[in-house]
Amino acid sequence: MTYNHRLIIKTISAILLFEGIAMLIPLGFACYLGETSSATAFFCTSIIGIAFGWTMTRFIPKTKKVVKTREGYFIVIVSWLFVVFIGAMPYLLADQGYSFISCWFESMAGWTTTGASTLDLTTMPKSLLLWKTVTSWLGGMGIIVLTISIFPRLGIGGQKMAAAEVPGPELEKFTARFGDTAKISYRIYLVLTVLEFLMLIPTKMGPYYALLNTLSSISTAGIVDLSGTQAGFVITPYIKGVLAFFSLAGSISFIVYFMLYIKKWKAAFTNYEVRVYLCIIGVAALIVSISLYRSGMYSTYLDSLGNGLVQVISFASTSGFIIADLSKWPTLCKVALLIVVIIGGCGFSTSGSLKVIRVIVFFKLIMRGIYKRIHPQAVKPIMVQGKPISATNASSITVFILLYFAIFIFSCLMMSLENFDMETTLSAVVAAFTNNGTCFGKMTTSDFGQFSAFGQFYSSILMLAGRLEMYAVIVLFSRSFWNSDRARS
Amino acid sequence: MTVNVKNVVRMMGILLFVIGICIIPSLIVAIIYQEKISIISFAVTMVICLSLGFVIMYLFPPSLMKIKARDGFLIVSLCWIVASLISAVPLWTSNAIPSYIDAFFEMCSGYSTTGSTCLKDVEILPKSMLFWRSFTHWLGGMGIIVFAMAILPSIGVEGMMIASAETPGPTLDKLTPKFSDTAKNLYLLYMLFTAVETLLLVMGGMSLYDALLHTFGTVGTGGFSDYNTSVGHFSSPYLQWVIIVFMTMCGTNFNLYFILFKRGPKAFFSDPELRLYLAIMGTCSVLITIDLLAMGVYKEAGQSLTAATFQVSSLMTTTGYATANYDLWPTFAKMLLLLVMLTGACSSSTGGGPKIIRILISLKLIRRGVALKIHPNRVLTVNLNGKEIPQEVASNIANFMFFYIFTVFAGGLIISANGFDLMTTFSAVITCLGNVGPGFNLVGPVMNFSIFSPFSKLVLSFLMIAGRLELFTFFMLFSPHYWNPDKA
Repeated sequence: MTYNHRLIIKTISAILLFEGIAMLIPLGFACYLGETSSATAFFCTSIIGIAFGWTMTRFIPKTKKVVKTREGYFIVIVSWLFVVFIGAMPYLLADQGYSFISCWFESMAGWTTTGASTLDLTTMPKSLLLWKTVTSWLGGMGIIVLTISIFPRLGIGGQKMAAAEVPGPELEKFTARFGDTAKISYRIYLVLTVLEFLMLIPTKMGPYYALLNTLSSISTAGIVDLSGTQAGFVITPYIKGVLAFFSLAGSISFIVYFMLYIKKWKAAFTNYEVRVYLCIIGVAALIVSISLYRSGMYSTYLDSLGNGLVQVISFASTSGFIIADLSKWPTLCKVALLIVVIIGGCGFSTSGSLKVIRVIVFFKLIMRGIYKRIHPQAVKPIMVQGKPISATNASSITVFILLYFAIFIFSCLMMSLENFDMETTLSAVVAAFTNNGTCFGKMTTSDFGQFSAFGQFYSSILMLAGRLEMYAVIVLFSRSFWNSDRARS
Repeated sequence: MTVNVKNVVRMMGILLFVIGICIIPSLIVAIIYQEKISIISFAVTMVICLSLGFVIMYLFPPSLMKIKARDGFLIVSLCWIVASLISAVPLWTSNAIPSYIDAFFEMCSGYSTTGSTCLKDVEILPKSMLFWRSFTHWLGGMGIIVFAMAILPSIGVEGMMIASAETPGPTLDKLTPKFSDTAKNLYLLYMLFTAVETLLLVMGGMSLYDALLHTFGTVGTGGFSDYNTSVGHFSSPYLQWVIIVFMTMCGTNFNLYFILFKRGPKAFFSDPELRLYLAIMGTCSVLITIDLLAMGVYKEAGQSLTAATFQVSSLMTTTGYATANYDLWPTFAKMLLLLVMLTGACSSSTGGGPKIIRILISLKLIRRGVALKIHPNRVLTVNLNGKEIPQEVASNIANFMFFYIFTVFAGGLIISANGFDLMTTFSAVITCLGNVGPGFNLVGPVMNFSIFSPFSKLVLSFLMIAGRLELFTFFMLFSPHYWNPDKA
């Protein structure tokens, strides 16, 4: 097996360099708050990351070899594992008595924008909590995308690496070079973040919580518990609205922003995927709010509609913040929320799960199946926005959906070894695999701490598989991945 | 719209006639046990069915117009609904089930071989009514229309077209040139199984009546019993193992038995679907046995093995008998049971669910997809038993799986309006769509479906029929393309 070792090491060291730099933010904050143990932890990890990353990027010569698809997967998975591992170090070194597996889980939940936790977030040092949201902000857009946006000349194979990391099927490119795409995407992401932060500043939550909420909602991580018990401030409808709006913004295809950026207004507003996504949210919010109103959870219809809408957006964008005790909500709401979380956000966004575009193709394939049974000889392509989807793309989406449900069922089996009730078991899998972090049963609090070390480890891998759209993790279990130079039948 | 109305009406007439004939055994049972109300309601229904059927067949002679594949879908769906509607009449008029919707649910459950019941106490029903209930399993197992073909070979319609809409599984092997011959062969085999199992059960100490009822439930992979505790009423391991063996046999592709007769056991066991079917069943049984022992549900290994195997084969073949309240088992065991409910039995068997062959091909598609991700330019085919599967078939199968997933979620959304917990909601939908019978929590093996609202019962009834007819046959009728097919 031959790999482009230089490129792999170079990419990883560049990413470690960024991670080290990113740690300076919570480090500064820890110093400011006087949290000495976490400050030391951040300092040590950061120094190692920066020193290692800097030397390696300096001294490893450039390579001009083309990256193969297989190497793309390998680079992505290795980078993510490294990043998560290093990201777990501050939790471990902060001397809070956390076990290694909890730290690993915490870091994974941060990077994959899941937002679940095994630890008690209320007692966690504030700088560590900030680190968690910073990791989810970086993980939201993707660390490889970040690397490419800063080092466009890292390799020729940026596209191939990013394909393994960017969510959603790749149906169109918006710039000729992937480096440009990455740069523009990050710029848009940054603008949205700043905008949200500025909108949250006037509220009573203070800059620290404003920053936490901004970083975790735009990246659709949803770490902060919106029931407001931990933060010590009142959650006003304004805050709910802002967070929901920016979660929605983060889960909309970035292609739309790009279209706005280059002033193609019409293309931006007629984007089929985004329209369908908004329709799904609208219908689901209607169902949830009517059901809530009828059950008498909220006294006025407006209240039910508002809370229903926020909760639906939180699930559809796979942020997974909670505004009320979901376990008391009617089953109809739960099923509606379950459906939207499995559908997920748009492709090329920060959200997780199946992605709307795939669900559109899923429906069109069913419709086509009916049509083909009525007219067995008909030739009917799948059309999305007036353009036919190639057979290769359609079959790749088919496989994706089949694989998704296959992993889903297999994971339910693995998690059932924990011997929790069925609803909790299924919920844990949904919460981890869709990167939502929250679901029903005993998972309404996003607390994975109730599982054993095995359950925590398995769900952390599941989160990674969900974030990287399965293939990057699944190919590791394929024989032809390890044995690919030899032709095999 | 050019649906062949005459042919459709004629088929309904034939169906009525056939149902009229099928009532006779239940009538005899009613006479033997001297249940007066049942005798009257059976006799009246029978006379009406026979006369109406006869008149329709007389008025609509066999037409020379060919039946198109499209007409076949309408005929089959209508047949199943009409059959359930009419068969519910004796149950309702005799006041055995006071509500007509409940009776309809019961009959849909019977014909589709689901075995879910909305009766709180089945033991208080008249014996002839219980017999009728189980007899519909026997009829529905192999298919009502196949049955009609087998006894009336010259009904004047092209059997193959219609039967392909009714037979479970993606492809229909042509075993004989004329489909009515195939139908006859299938039914002969089916009757052989029925006779042998009844004999074995009677030898094990069941009364003839109980033996017949449980045989109908087993060979049709239905699951109605005349006891509230289902097969758990009989503690004899012998009886349980007889039922296990026959459930497994009837969950196997019936065409394979002809291969067994013609080409021997080697060809029989080389069938990839059968191998996967037995492998899943074996693995799950062993895993559950170990789990039950480890968690201390059973003390003895033998007991645990019997219980686990019974439950796995019962749910996998979508029969739905229970010997234990598996809802109290550990979660791992329950999850495995849910898994086998979602795989179902083999194609062309009497079982339901998505069918093993589709699961097998889906897995192969996934493997191919992953390999293509690693080497995008490779040319890979999906092979089954050494033969390449055409693109068309593979895409049909993927479509079916999608439709199945979609129906589970859509059904779950409708049923959730009842406000029961998530597991109850989804397992009710999965169990009805897969024609299994029991689910989990409130629809668990010792519970029943009486808790649902009439509307939900109706939805579940249609899900059962849709599941039995493999979704497309039924749901196609709701597509505008179906009613507007001549326009491009």
